[in-house]
Amino acid sequence: MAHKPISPVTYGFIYVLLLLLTALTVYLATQGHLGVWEIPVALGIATAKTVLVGLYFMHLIHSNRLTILIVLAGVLFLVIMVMLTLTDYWTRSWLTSPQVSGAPSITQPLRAGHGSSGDGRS
Amino acid sequence: MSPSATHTHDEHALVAHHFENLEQQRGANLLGMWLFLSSEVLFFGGIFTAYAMMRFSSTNNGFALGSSQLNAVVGGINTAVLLTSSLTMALAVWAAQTKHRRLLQLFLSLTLAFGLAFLVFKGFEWYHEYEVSLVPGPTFGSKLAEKGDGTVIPAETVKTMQMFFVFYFSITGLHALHMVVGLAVLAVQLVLCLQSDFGVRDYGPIEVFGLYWHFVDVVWIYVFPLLYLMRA
Repeated sequence: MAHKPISPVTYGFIYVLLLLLTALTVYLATQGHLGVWEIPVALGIATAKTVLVGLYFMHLIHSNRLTILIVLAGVLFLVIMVMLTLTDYWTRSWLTSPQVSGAPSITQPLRAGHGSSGDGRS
Repeated sequence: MSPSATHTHDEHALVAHHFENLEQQRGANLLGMWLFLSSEVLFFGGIFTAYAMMRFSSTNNGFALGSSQLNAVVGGINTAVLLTSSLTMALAVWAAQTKHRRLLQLFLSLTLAFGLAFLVFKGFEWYHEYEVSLVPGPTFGSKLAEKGDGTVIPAETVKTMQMFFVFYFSITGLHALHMVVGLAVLAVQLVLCLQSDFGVRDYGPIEVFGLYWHFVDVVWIYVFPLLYLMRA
């Protein structure tokens, strides 16, 4: 790192912010009644804490572009995995079109004998 | 440029022969750790995705009920302990960069102590869950009815709660495993710092380990709300 080290005062300030955010998220989960906003708010606070740790404790604020690229690549693939998986589970119940007769239902596994039965006599 | 022009005399012993200078060596080591951490994002991401999927597709409130069995304040205190160990780790890297040998030894020792404290707290939590039959298995939930208000939890919901606790023990267990690995590396670095000028002559290894330690902290920053705080 060609930069001047981040000062202990900055680390202390970030630490206090992290503790305050932790106290806030515990308070909101136990005393607050956020309803449907509970999960987005909890994950939002976690993401804010992650950004603070990443930028200051992990020195990303002074890192070169190649490091940033690797970090963003990790995040990008995580987002792809989560989003595509959840859009599948979220939208399955939307399929109300009539079943083609004989086609396997998407909500039920293939019946035995329908696919590979594996007795080796075919 | 010839090697003798880029190396100072001190640096020469620290730089592996395939690097031009110490700066390049540190950069390459940091990049290697970041690549590893990027793949770790997907390792933990996989189990988080499975958790989200099971939670969204379940038709009862077993996940929220399971979450309510955990103590958010105890989890919050443990989060604070881990954040403190991250602070002392960041300060250890600072001490190495500014060549304060005694402070480096002190901050590495504190990081080790807070890391161990986190695991001890976690152990007590696991033991408590074992005592009240929240470990998935034949006797799972046998003590849930004792909790008070007389409401009977339907069998299907109890099954979903078991699923929640399968995730709980897998995720916290994998996280604890990462802590144990981190503590082992940290202990070795601390011994080297106590015996020699390791760390102050080249802060590179301390900084690289610091990245791993902060990453394990970041994983917990997400584990905590996902398991302890989603009660609705």
